[in-house]
Amino acid sequence: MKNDAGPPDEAAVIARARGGDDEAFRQLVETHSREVFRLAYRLTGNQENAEDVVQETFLRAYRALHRFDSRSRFGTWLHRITANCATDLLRRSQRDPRWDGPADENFDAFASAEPGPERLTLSAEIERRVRSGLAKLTPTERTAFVLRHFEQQSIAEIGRVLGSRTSATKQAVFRAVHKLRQELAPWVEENHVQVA
Amino acid sequence: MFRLPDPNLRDEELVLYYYGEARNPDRIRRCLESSPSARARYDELCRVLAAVDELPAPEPPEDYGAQVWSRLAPQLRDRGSRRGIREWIAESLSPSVLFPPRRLVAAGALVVMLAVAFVAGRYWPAAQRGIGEPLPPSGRERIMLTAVGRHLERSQRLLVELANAAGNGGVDVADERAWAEELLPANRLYRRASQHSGKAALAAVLDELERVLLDLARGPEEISAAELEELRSRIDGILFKVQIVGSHVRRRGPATPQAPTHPPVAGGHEV
Repeated sequence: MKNDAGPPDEAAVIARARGGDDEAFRQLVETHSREVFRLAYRLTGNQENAEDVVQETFLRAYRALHRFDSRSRFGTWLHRITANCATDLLRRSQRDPRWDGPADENFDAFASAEPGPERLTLSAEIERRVRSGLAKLTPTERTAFVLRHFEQQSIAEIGRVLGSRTSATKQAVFRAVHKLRQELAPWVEENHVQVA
Repeated sequence: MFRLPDPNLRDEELVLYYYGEARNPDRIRRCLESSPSARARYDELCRVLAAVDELPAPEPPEDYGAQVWSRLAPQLRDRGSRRGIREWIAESLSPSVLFPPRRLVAAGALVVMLAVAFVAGRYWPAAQRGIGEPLPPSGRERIMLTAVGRHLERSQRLLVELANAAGNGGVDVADERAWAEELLPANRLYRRASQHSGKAALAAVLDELERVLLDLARGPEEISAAELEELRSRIDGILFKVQIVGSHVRRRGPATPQAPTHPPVAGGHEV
């Protein structure tokens, strides 16, 4: 997780929220929503599902706030809940995976300034293939991979999120990488793709 | 698991090395320096994982946290963790208390739907325009309202069906769940459009409806009698609002009918 250390007075806000102060909980929601959304989007690959996960994450957090260990980082705790909510949602919708569909139109696909047509075409193809590769992962593999690759969580931390042993978590990451390599490697090599 | 030609270095080790979790990174570094084939495999892994980084990361708007809170706050109250006097008054005045028998609510819904259908049928033709004629300034808004009106009507049917579901033991709500899933994307779209166009009252009802649809769509296919009862108590409140707002919207909206009044059938339900 990146930058999950909250502001210095976050511990006080959490204490107030645990005491039943909804205004304090609102502060926590407003502080962490964007980070939670980004993770939810990575995990689900689709904006609508991500928004559902954000909503469910904060609902679960609200109900479980009394169980939050104040020695932990609140952001890390929230991300754990997010990963669990997303995994639940992915398992439920496995029969109708949504990230194989068209990319969201609401967001700019790439942040690079003024990309040329070739770059755009290449980027779109990379995105399509990455989405296709991610769609082939099981919910556990996808969650493990996203947390390791995008969130820089250690395998031990991911194991705690998934409730699985370190060796099983490692295998989930290995399988995810293996599937992505199968999907992407031939194309990346063939097109001499040099990504930033 | 993925033992490849280089007998000294497995792919798993390369993955762990890439992520900085290798047990013995110095050994792997030396191996990569001395073995061109291992180096080639590692370079390929790096290119693949760098390609994954190209997956676009959406950036939520600055006020996203406030948007989340506006949708979340009523749910926290609904869940009944902390109830204040305002919630008590709102609940006391809710239709479920004022009009206790569910059949009465369902009958009321039917009367509203018939009245709206009568009014729409009476005035609809007068509002039709010629093909190709430009839309008046308010045309787009009216088309949207027409669509929202139809959506609310379909949602109302679902809510009425749930309000009248039998509640002995486990209740199979698989059909209603599928129906809610189908209604959900349109509801989101209309809620956002209403918010953006400043229709706060409509947006609030759609928001409340969305939470019911979401819970239903994400819930199990079979629920207990107690869960059904809880769902009903929520539905009674929202149903009344949907009826009122829906009939209001449909009165304002249907100026330019462009589609058959009977929507296509999907998943066994009219949607």
